Amino acid sequence: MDPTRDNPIIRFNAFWWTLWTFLSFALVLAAILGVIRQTPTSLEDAAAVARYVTKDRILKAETAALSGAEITAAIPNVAAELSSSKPTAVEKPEQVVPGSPTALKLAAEPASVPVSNETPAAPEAAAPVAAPAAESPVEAVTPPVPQEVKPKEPPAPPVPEKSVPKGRSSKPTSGKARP
Amino acid sequence: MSADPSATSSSDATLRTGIDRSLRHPVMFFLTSGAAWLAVSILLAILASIKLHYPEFIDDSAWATYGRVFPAHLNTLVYGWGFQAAFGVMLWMMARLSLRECRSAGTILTAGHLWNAAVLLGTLGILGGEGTGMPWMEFPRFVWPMLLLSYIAIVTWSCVEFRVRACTRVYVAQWYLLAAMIWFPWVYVTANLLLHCTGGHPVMAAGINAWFKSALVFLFFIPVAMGTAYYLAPKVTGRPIPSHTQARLGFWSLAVVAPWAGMQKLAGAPIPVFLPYLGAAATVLLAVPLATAAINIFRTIISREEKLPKSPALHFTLAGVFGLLLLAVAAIALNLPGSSLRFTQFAISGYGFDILALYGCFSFIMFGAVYFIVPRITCREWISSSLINMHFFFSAYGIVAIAFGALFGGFIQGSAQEAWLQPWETITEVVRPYAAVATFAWCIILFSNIFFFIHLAMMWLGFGRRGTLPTMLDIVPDASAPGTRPEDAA
Repeated sequence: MDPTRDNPIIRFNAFWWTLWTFLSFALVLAAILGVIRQTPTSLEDAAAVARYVTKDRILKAETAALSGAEITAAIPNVAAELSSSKPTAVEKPEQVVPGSPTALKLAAEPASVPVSNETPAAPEAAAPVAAPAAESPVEAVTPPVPQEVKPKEPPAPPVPEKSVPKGRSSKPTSGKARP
Repeated sequence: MSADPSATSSSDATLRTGIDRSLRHPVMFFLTSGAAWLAVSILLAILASIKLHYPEFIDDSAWATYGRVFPAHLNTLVYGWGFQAAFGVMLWMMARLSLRECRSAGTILTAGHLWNAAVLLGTLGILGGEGTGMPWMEFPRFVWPMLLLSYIAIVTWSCVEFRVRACTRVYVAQWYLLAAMIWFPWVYVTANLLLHCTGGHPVMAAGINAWFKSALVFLFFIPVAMGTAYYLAPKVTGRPIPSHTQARLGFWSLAVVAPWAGMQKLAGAPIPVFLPYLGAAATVLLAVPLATAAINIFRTIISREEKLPKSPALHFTLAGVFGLLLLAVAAIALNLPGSSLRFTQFAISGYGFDILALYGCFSFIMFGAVYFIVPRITCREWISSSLINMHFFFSAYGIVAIAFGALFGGFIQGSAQEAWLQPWETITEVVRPYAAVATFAWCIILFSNIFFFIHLAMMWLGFGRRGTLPTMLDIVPDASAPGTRPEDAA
């Protein structure tokens, strides 16, 4: 081995020269960007400034319209309302778990089952069938929120008020009551 | 007073054995894991290709959609196979040409594991929907610093070996390898800093991305392939390169022209109009360095034609050199503004060009280097010449079908796009047969590469053939040259 060509000092220098060469690409690029980058002056950029102003104005208006403080203040009232409501049995036969005691009980009473989908369910036919809470826990997990439903003209067939959750429309979509 | 020739030869052999031993595990690690990634990439290519002519195939999984599978295929091909094959070959060749042992095998191996982890995370990121959407840079943003650090930890030692090389002479192969080692960080750092770290106009971001893609091919993969071919051809044939001037012309014309290429992909986009024209002109001019190098290497190979039927390394290298010539022709044919560019700009021709560069040229020369290097560092001979033959012919036929199908099909697709009175479905129908051919071609390439990977892994595990005669393609070893390897070029 020729010590004038290969010794630890030359290797050390070559190592750092290589690293500096690789690093210099990033440094030169940063320097060039720092020198040539300037505030945009084209028509498109000028139009973009106006667009950003409009965007900021709309965002501020939206934030003002939907105040976080109001939402926070309303939460305790809604929570209290929800916790004070009592769970009730589901009155829609199609939501009864197949094979459950309720389903068996319904099957034993064919007269109480709606005959056709086209026929609006009579209040008597949709009479609530109590199901044991312990045997149908799924039906009791969503406590119905008391809500007064005001039918519009023409009056829709009566819908059980307790089965209408808060936030959903109680109005049938095509003027017919769902079976 | 002259030294004893036999003693010099013995000390040279000892030095070469020491170099091979010092690099055995890093080189085999990169080559084997690269071959595994190549199989993964081809599998993803098959999925992507099937979806071009049968879109309902696995259409219920988000990860298998074309928009994820196709970039995953190209990124695993580039970073999983391409770079790791280049690392393995560059490390070995630079150490051999500098006549210096590698003293940092542990660091290189650790960095290699980090590189593989980054590629794996990036590929999973793309398949998981976290890709960036920028061609060849689709890995999620956190991946590029990992890749860059690994690259520096792998390549720095080769630069040090070059600096402390034993002989003052610098071989042509070393020009290309050293240039590729330095050009890649420039291209990679510039593109990633501009696209990931600084804000800018999205149209220019697309331009930078197009430049990056072109620069990666012509400033890293093609120089590595050319350097390797400039090493293998004289080494195996035992003849020097016919024209040193031609080699110098090829190198410097590549260095001057290649950095300007790439922006022609944005012809018609709202960027300064000279940029696409500059890119198109540079890409067309790239035919000069490509053809110059290809002709020079080809003349070296045919100077001893009798070696050609026997040597696997020469077979693959010659195929790669033909790929280089085809790439030169394609660079002209696809990028002429005002005539061909409008047909190929939004067609599958671009994919054909990329595959021709990455597989038809670069990968073939890398395969040649693998068949040359691995017996030397494992001290074993290749197990089966039939497997090598199968690998060569399946890869060659497959890649010819894919590249020609995509290049020609792209022209047909582009002309159908120009006929704007016909419905768009007609264009997809026109491309369908070419996509079907590509699917079949990728399947046979996958078949051959799975066996290539197994062959390579067995060599690393020490199951190679023990013998004095190298494995040649004509099956019956040439008894007139027992146990000799052409080692005379370095």
